[in-house]
Amino acid sequence: MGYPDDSTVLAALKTAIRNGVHKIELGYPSPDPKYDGPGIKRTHLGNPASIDSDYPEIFSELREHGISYYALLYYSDVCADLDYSLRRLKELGFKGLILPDLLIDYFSESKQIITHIQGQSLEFVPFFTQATPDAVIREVSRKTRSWIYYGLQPSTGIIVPLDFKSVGRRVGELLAGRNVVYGFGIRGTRDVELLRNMGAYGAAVGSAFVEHLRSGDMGSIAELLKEMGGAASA
Amino acid sequence: MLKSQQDEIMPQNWYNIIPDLPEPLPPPRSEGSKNSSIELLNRIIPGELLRQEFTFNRYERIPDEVREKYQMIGRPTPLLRAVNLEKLLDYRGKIFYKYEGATITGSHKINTAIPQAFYAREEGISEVVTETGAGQWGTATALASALYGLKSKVFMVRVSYDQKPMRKAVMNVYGTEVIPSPSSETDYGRSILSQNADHPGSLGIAISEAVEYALNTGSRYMLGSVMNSVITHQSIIGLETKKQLEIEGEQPDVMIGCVGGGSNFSGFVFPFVGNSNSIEMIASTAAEVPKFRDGGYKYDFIDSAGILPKLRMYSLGAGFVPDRIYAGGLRYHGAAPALSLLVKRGTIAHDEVQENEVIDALKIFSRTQGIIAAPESGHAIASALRYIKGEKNSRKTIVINVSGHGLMDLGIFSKKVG
Repeated sequence: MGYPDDSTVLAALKTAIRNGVHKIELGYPSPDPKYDGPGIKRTHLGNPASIDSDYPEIFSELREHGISYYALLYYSDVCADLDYSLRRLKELGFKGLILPDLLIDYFSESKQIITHIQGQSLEFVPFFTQATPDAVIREVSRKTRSWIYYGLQPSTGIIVPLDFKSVGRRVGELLAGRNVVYGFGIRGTRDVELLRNMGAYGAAVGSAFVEHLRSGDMGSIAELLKEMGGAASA
Repeated sequence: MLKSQQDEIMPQNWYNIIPDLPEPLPPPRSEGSKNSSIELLNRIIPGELLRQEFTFNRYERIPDEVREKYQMIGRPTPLLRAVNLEKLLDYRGKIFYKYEGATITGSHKINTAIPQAFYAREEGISEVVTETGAGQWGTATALASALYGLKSKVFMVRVSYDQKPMRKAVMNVYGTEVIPSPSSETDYGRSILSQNADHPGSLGIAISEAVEYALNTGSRYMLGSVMNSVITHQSIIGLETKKQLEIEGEQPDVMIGCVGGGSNFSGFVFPFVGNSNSIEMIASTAAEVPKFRDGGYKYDFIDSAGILPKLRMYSLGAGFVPDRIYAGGLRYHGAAPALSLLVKRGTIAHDEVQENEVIDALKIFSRTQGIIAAPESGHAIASALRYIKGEKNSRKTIVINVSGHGLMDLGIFSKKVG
């Protein structure tokens, strides 16, 4: 949200909807985007967007097209008044939220927090990474009903060597029957094809999308989404 | 040892604790919004090693060529019962020690140097570079690179370089170039020397110099400790110990090892952590470098210059320069993230031992078991002696990891031997 500016975000969302995007994750800026890579980090810096802003055009556009949208926030930014944040997210029409730092920095309280969020009729989207232990994946996924966000790389937008087949085996074993959306480091159609072959429910494209957002070129965003959509359904 | 015995004890796979941790391991963090120091690892570390660094695979197959080299350098290492020590202490339980000093290079460090050099060669790399504190890691790197025909360079912490000329000589014999750190070979070294020409150096500084050299030359940086992939390789210590105890019909009640960056200790105990409810695990550190006692559990840089990512670990601060203690391998400011996490949760206890107590422990061990252990390992022995003092009447089975021999470190006794 708010990057590079509100009108570009609105235009990009319209483009995304026209090009077959089913779910949208709207990230709110954090003063400490600790687990993001450099590309996404730049979108946080000096960005005044917050859940206190209404953005009527953006949300009415999403609602009008029946798009499910989810908020991505750092728990460290909302923990001071979680109930207020949950109320606001409900008012704004979010279906659920993703808290990438919850299981890492607040593990001992996480079960209680997840229960509380789900009690407010918001979906809690579990965010797992390669470093999430098996027992934690099993336990947290059992506690939730939402789709699952699985981060492939240690941080957003960066690439280190990865064995997609092993990931597929792990997810198949630990998260059988769950819809898993993979993110972090998804750069192109080849990645999307690999994910499709792994039985992925979806691919979350962040850093690559942000690069196009920065340019403000809606044609290139449409092209990116078409290519990735094509790879996903081929 | 017969090959059949070697095959029975030495595992086919390394063990990676990440998928079995009780909570998620905090990921590395990259500071700044320009470039990622995590992505930078692609330029300085072999790809296969980087994959292992971030993998969730519980087991990683040890390549056949690496297993052969392991056998060549003396694996499996012996697990011995310290009968004379038990008698001296009038201890009713049993004391075993895993002796990593029995490897050709005299310490556990060769366990990861071999696979790292192997992966570098497999990827067509011609030169490797690293740092060394006490000299054990540098020696292991020197041999491993010689075995795989790689050129090698080692930045050695200046205080150790001055105290241990024989270590330098050994590395030179293996064909490695050894540079005292801080040095004038790198921008970072020059910046340190410009402030203090007599700087004793630290592992953090030497790591920064080695990384800078790798970035500038296209060589690959060898990871000595701290990182997950290194600990995975070092799991061979614990996996062998497990098998050897099983053959003896024993179960450990207490496991004790020393901690610098944490690789020998973690490699020793991690394969047992699943049974940790019944095993006491004690990480012994130098009282002069009390990372677990006085350090915070926080994100901190691996190296002093902050080139590499930050890790969440117990740390005394990346700029920490410890006293000129003899146990150079324990002078590192931080400890491996997975080990730090388990210490924070109380799964692993810690103990801090001073140099004098270590020297006494080394003497007792050498006069009972015949082994002059490394000063670093002396901390584990000293912690074990402390433990036994408080448990005189128990019948616990205690296993100590003696991570290396001290035949290159005899200077520690020069003023103290009675």
